[in-house]
Amino acid sequence: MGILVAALLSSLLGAEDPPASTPPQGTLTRAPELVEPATAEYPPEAKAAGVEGTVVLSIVIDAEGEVAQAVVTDPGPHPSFAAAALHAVQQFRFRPAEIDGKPAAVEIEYRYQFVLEKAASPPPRAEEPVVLTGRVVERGTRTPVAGATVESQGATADTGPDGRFALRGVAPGDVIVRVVSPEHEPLSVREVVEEGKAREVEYRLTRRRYDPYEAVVRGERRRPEVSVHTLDTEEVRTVPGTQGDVLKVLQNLPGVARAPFGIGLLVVRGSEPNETIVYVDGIPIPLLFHFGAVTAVVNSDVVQGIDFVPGNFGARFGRALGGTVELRTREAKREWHGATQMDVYDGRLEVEGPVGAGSAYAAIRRSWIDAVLAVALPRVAPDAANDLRVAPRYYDYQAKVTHPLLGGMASLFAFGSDDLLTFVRPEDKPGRPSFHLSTAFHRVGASWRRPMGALTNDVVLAVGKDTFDVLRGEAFGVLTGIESVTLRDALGWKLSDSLSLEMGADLYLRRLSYEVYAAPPGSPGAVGDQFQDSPSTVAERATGYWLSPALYAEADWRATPRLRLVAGLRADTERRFSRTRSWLDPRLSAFYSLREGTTLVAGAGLYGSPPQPQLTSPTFGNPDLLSERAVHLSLGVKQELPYQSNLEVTGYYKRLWDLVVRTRLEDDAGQPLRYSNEGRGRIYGVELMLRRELARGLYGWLSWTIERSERINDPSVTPYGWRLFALDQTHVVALIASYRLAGEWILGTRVRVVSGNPYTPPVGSVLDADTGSVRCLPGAPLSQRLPTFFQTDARVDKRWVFDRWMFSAYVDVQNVSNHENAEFRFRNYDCTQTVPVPSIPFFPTIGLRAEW
Amino acid sequence: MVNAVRRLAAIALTAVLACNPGFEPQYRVTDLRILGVRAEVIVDPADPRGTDLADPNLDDTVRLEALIANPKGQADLSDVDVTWLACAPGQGGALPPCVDPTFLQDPASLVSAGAFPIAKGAKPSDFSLTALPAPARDAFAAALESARRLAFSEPTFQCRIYVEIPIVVVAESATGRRDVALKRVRLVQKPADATFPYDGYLPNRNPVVKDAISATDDGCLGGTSLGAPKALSAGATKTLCAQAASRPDEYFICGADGTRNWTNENLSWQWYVTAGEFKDVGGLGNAEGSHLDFTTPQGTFTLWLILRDGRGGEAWKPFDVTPAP
Repeated sequence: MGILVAALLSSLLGAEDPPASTPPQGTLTRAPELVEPATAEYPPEAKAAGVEGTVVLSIVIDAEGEVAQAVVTDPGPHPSFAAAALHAVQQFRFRPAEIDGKPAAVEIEYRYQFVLEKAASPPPRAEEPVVLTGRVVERGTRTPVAGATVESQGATADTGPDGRFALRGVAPGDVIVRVVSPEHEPLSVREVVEEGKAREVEYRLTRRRYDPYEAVVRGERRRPEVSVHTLDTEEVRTVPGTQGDVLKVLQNLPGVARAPFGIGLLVVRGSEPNETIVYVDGIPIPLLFHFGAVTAVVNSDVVQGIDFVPGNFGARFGRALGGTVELRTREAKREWHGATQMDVYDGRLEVEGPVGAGSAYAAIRRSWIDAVLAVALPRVAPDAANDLRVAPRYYDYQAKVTHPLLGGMASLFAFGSDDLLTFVRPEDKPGRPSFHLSTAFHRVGASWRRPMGALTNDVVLAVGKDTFDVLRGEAFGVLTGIESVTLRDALGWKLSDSLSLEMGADLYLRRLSYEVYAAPPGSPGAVGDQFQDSPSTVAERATGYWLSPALYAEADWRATPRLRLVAGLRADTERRFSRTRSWLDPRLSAFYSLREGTTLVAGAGLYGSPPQPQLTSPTFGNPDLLSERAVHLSLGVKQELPYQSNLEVTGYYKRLWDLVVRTRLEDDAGQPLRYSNEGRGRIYGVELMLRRELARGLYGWLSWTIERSERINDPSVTPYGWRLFALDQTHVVALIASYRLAGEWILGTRVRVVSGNPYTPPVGSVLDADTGSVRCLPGAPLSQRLPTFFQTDARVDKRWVFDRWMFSAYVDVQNVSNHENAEFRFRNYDCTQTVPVPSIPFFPTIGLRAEW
Repeated sequence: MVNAVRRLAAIALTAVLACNPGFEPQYRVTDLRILGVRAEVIVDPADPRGTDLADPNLDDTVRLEALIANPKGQADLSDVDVTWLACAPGQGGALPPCVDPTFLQDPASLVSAGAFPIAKGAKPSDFSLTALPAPARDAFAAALESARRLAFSEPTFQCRIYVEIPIVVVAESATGRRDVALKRVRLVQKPADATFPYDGYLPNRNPVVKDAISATDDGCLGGTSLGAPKALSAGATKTLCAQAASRPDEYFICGADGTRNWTNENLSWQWYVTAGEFKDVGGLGNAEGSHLDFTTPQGTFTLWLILRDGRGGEAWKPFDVTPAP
C-alpha cells in the first residue's frame, strides 16, 4: 500500500477534470484500495485462440470509491479484451482515496490481465470443507494481494483485502493450484490435499513490474500556483546522473539553470540560489545537499514527492524571490519493512513498521569517504593525509511517527544533517585550523491535520538548531549558531463547491549568535586589496533574536465552470537585532479551461525577501538594508496529449528591485556603507515541459528553458550598466527517458544541452607591486560565454525479487561520451593565455540496495 | 550567487594550480616587464625616524623606483618611456582612477580622469608630497582624519591610521610593448599629529636584500653568491637561497578590541629570470619562496630577486649570471 500511496500522490485530478468529480486539493492521506474486484468474462474468441494478455485502463475513482470513469489506454493483444476488461473494471469498488483526511476522487492506471484457466467448473458449494486456506502475498514486498483468484480442479476462491482465502471442494490427492492476479505473474503450485484436513499455505506472487502500481499521473495536485512540477519519488529515482537522489532531479526541470560541476545550487528562473526556499513537510531547511553536491540532506527513501514551484508561488510561502521546493515525506507502512543501500559515497539503513494504531520509520545515512581516504591517502598522498585531520564526513537521519489523534492524524518527525571537513597543519595555532567547515541542522517537528466538516486545520510546529562554522587559519572565521521555532498553521474553509478560503500564519523565530573575524571588507571595483597586512582582522560577535511572522489569506474561487481564480495576500514582518522590516504581497492566479484538456494559466504577484544575515552585519555589512523585492508575472498553457503525455508552456517576466549590492557610498560620517539596496534585475523567459507519464514502462520528459537574466549594480560601482546574471543560460535543454524492460531491468538516459555560462574577459593586467602578483583587468562584465555544455548520462538498474526480499543494483554513468565541457577559464599570470577548466569527465558510480 | 560561483572557481583553480597547464611561467621574463616598485622617504640624517623609511607624511619627499626588465631592449632602459601618476582619494567613496580597471586598461585616460603625473623616466624619481595640488593635499588630509575617526568607532583600525596613495607606473618600450604596475604608498600622520612611532600605526621600513646563493647543503647555510663567477653550471639543478640583510621587523596590529599585538613581518621572496627553469612553482609559474630548485640554462642570463615585507616595503637585487659550461 505504501507503494500505492507514493504512486498516487501525483495522480490527483486537475482543474480540467470531469464535472462529476470534485477536483481535490491538499495532500493525499490515503490511496484508493481495491476491495471488491470483479472478474471479466474471458472473450470466447480469445480463449479459442489461446490468447492471453493485459489491458491497460485509466480509471477515475470517485469519492465514494465507485468507478466514475474508465478509459482503455491499451487494448492488449486481442480486440475483444478491451470491452471485457472495461465491463469488469466498471464493477470494481474501491475504498476511496483520502485527501487531507477526506474522501476524494483520484485517477489511476490499472492493468487487467487475461490468463487462460485450464479448467472451468461450477463454484463449489459453501458447505464443502475447506481444504486449502492461507494468504497470497507479493514476493519481495510481502504485501497482501487482494483480488487474486486461487483455483484448483475448477474450484475457485478470491482473496480478501488481507490476501487471505479459503478454497473448498477440492478432491484429496496431488493437485495443481493456480493463483491469478491482474498485476502479478500467474503462479502454479503442486499441493497434496488430504481428506478432512485444511492445509495452511502462503503463496507469493511476483509483481509484473516492481513499480508503483503501474501508476498514474495525469495532471497535478490542484494548487494555487500556475506552474507546479510534481515529482514522484519512485518515478524519478532512476534518472541517470543523479545517483538515485530525487532532489538532484530538480535541476532537470524547466526554469532551473545548470549548476557548475553539478553542485546543488538551485538557480530558478534567473534568481540567486538562496532565493529559492526548500521546505521539508512545511519546515524550511538551510541547505539542500551535503557538501554542496554529493547527495541531498534528506534520504530519498523517506521522500514521498516533491512539488517544485519555479515562480508565482502562493501566499502561503514567502521570504523568497525565486521559487519554492516542497519536499513531502511519506508515512511509514503498517508492516515491518526495511531497506539498506550502499554506493560509492555512503551507506544507509531504513526500518519501518507498526506503532500502536499508527506507524513509524527511522532512516540513517553516513558517508564513508573519510574511511576510504583514511586507507588510501597515506599510500598515495602522505602529506595530504597528515593534514586532513577529519576527512569529508556527513550523515543525516530522518524519523517519523504517524498516529491517529483527536479525530485527525498526528505526526512527530525528526530529521537532521551534519557535514564536517577539517584540515590541520602542524604549524596551525590551536583553534585556528588551516581549513574547517562544519554545517549541521536538526529539526524536531509535530503536525496535526484534521478535517472538521467544511473546515480543515493543518498545523506544523518545529524546533531546530543549526550551526555553520567556517575557519580558514587566522585570517577568516565565521561561527554561527541558530536555534529556531517554526510554526505554520493553515485553516481551510470550504464555503461552497465554488469557493474556499485558506488563512494561515507562518512564523519563524530564530535566536542567532555569531562570531566573525575577517579582513576588513575590500574596496568594491578596485584593483588589488587595501590593507594587506593579512594578520589584521576585524571581528564582530553578537547574539540576538530574529522574528519573522507572516499572515496570509487566500481565496480559491471557481467563478465559472471554466474559470478559476486564486487571490492571496501575504503580510510579512521581520525584526532582526532591533530593526524592523515589513512588506505586503498581493498575489493572483487564474486558470481558464479553454476546452477539454486545455487550460490557460496566468499569475501575478509581489514577493519580498529579507537581506541575508551577513549583509546586515554592522562591521561587514549595512544594518540599514531594506528587504529585496520582486514582481512575478507569468502566462502559460497546459495541454493534455495522447499517450499519457502533456505539454506545458509558460512565459514569465520578473522584475527585481532593492537588491542588495556592493556600494562605494559613505554615510554622513564618511564611513563606507559597503552595501546598498540600489541593485535591480530583470528576467524574462519561456519554459516548455513535454512530459510522458509513467505508462507501459516508459516515462520521461523534455524540458527547454529560454531565458535572459540581467542585473545592474549600485551606480557608485563601475562599470555601471546592465550585465548578465552570473549563471544566465540562454538555452537549458534536458531530455530524460527511462524504460522498464521485462525481468526488472530499467534503462535510462539523460541528455543535456545548455548555453555556456557568461564570463568576464580580461583586457590587460597590472602588477600589484605590493604583493608581486599580477592582477587581470576585467573587461565588460560577463560579456562573453563559455562553449555550449553537452552531456549524456546513462543508467542501468536491475532488481532481483526473492520470496521475502528484493535486491537491486545500478550503474550510473555521467558523461558517457566523455565530452569535454568548460566550467571556467583558467588564466595564466597576466591573462594572456587561458585553458578551460573541464567539467565532470566520464564518471561511473555503482549502488547496491536490499529491501525486505 | 556570484560569490558562490567565485568560490567554486577558486576550488577549480586550486585543483588546476596543482597541475601544469602549459602556460609561460610568470618567473620567466622575455620582454618588457615591471617587476617591482618601491618608495623610500628621503630623510635628513638627523631625522629621528631613521633610514629606509617606506611610509611618508604630507611634508615628505619620496624616492620612487621601479624594477624594470627589458631583455629585448636596452639594458639602461634608454628606449623605455616610464610615466608615474598618483591619485587623490575619491570624494564620497568614489574609486580613484589609479585603482579603477576601467582607466588602468587605458593609462592614457588616467590624467583626464583625475590622476596627476608625479614623475617621468626610468631612473629613480623624487616625489615631493608638498608639491601635490592643493585639492589633493586637502583630500589626503581629510582621508587621514577619516581614518582617525574610524579608529574611534572600530578599535581594530587604531593601528591603521594611514591612507594609501595609489601610484601607477606605466612603462612603454620602443616596440610598443607596455606594462603597468600599481604601488600603494602609505601616507601616515605627521609627527606633530602623532606620538611617533606608537600612535596609530608603526611606519614601515623597506627591507634589504643581502644576497642570493647557490646552496651547497640542504639548509641554505652555505653556498656561493650568484654574483660570483661561475656560481652555477649550465644544465645543473641547484637550490638557490635568498638572504635578507636583517631579520623581519616587528610591528603591531590591533585585535578586534583594539589590543595591540606585536608581530613579525612576513617576508616573501620572488624570483625572475630571463632563462632557466624553477622547479615546483605551480601552474602560474610564480617563483616564490626563500629557496627554490633551479635548472641553469646555457649562456648568460639575468636573475632578479625581490623581497617584500607584506606591509608595502620592498627591495630587490639583480644578478647577471654566466654559468660555467
